[in-house]
Amino acid sequence: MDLNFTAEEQAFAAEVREFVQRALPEDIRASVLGGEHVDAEHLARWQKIIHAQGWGAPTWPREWGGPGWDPIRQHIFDEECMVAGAPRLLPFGLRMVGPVLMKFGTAAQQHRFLPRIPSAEDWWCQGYSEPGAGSDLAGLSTRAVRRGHRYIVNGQKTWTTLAQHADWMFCLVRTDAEAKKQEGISFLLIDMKSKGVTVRPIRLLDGSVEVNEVFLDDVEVPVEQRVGEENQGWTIAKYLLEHERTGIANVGINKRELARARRLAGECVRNGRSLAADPLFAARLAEVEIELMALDVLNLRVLAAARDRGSPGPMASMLKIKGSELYQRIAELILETQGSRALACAWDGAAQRWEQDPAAAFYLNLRKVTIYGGSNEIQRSIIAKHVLDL
Amino acid sequence: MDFSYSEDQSMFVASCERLVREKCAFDARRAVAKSPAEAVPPLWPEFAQLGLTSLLVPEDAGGLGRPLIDGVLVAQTLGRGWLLEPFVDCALAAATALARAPQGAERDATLAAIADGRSIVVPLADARVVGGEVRGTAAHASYADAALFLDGGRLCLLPLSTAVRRGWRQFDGTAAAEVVGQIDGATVIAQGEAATDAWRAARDVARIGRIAEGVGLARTVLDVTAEYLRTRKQFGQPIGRFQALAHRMADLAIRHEQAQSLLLAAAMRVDAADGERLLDAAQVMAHRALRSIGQEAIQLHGGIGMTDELAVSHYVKRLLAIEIELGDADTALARFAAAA
Repeated sequence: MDLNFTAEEQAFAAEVREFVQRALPEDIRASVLGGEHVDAEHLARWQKIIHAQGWGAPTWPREWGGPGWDPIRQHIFDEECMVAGAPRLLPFGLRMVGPVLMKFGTAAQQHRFLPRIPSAEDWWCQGYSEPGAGSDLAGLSTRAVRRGHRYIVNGQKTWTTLAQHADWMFCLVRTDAEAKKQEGISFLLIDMKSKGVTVRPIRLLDGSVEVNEVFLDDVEVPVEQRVGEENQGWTIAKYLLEHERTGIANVGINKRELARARRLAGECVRNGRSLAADPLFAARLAEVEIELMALDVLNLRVLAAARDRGSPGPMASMLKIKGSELYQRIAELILETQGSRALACAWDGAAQRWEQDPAAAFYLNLRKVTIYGGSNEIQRSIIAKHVLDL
Repeated sequence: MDFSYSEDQSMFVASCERLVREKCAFDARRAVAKSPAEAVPPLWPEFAQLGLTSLLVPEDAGGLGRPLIDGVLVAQTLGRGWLLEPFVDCALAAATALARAPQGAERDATLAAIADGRSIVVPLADARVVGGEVRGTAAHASYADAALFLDGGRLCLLPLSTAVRRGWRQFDGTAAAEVVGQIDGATVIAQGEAATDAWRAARDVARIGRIAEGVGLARTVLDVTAEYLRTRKQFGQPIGRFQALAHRMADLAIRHEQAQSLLLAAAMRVDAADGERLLDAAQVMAHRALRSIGQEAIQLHGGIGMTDELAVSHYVKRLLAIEIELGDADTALARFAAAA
């Protein structure tokens, strides 16, 4: 048993730290450390910078242009980047459709799509959720009907993150309406420029536009853009969700935001003293820090298991629950450091709307993290079934 | 970074698991918990035979000189079976105090006697010395051979054969006693900084060991409760199928893994600069885990969980006693916050 990283791993961490320090543009760093909304241009620019370094796909094997890091190094890279104020890499290409193509794609699909992901030439979005299929994903009703060498797709996707910037969408569609609901699903790659694709942004309670409705009306999709066999989509969907779950603890982001909460509390004077010196606030800060320390070690235990056994297993659901709850608790602390200042809004003429104060927007925006990526209630059901055998 | 067991660790854990399986059935443990407080618990000689009492005793004193993490893994495994023996108190805490003290005839002989199971020594954490008398209360002092205590800057060993003892059993079945001894019957083991360092190390190790015991027993409580949810039927199905109960079990399982994580970290970093703070974090987390697992285990069992007849109520009482023995969590939290 050993809690320490190896000397090589520590040297690697130092190398990443030095690189991020040097290569992360100041405007991006300031935006991220200020808790502002995710900026799509920042994401693309940072993705290109790390790609130039050869690190554009941190979780990919060498065979596909990744650095071939094990789960520990991937974690170190992520944590160093997050703590230093880099934006989180988009998962849709790197962690979702990428691994799916590596495992289920044809050689032609792999060569066509994979190289364009780390370079940010292609931006992907995830066509999973529908108005009638959220947690019960297999209940989806978007239909794809085979006509010669094409599928004709009709239906609606929703909560599609950053679809307004996406070039491609990977999409679950129903190809057999008669089969059991999990058995009639296929996995298609849809060009967002196709005729019949309409993206309608959904404005959220914090003023942001991160998610969209995507309407599909007689969209023609060539058969060679189907991944895997027809009606094999559910197997692929589940494989993808497994990959989504690695790195889900968000330890790095939580460390960064806790440091921000601590700094803001130190700058804030309440009842004649620093808020950080208020014993009740300090106790809440301490509780959160202890939870984060436990999450950090639990995450390392899961990573070590993933390294040694190949899969994070159902314990990853614990990381999702604690990582997201902590993120929200830290956002609450940050909001409290701002007091009534958090009520303010500023008119953003360019966007023609009132911009909420970053602390309030941050708090409100993060209500999403216990909902997306498999709601925390779904995660509890996974733990009950697969860890506790209930 | 590695969380797998070494060959030695696997061996110790396996033999403890066997011991728990074969000798720590609920009825057998309950019989021990109901025996006179003055009786040495029956499994102690087996602990010695398995080498458990010599784990932390240095090699030069006839022990195995293993790192603390080995002792923690053993405490956790023994804890799973409702530990009524003074493993944490004697084999971890007292052995640490003596091991950290300078070598000397009395210290070496006592360590050797702990290692081979001849002597049981417990720390007297709350010892007060007044007018030539030392008084204190400690778990297992009702049958121990000697007690360690700190008198100002002196680490002293008091033989209990000549002390006046009033023994009892705590509500969880653990034997305990109030001890009154003559200070001139005690031997000074260490003085000055050597004494206070050894004592502090022993207190940290006692705390880590107690957390380990609690995390181990909490595992058993979770297992027993999950098994109950799988077998108890209401409304025509096992009650574990109901989300209201299943999700609570999931939350308890998470709590347990959090406590387990900080326990391992605290045990591995006990001597590091941030060791004390990590230990405070581990204690706070263990407190939250033990409290919620104990309370929820009863609730999830329903009425049967309230009965003296079922093992779970006894395990829950031991969990509660462990929390109390650890000291209040608010103090640990305040210390943690102040050291930020």
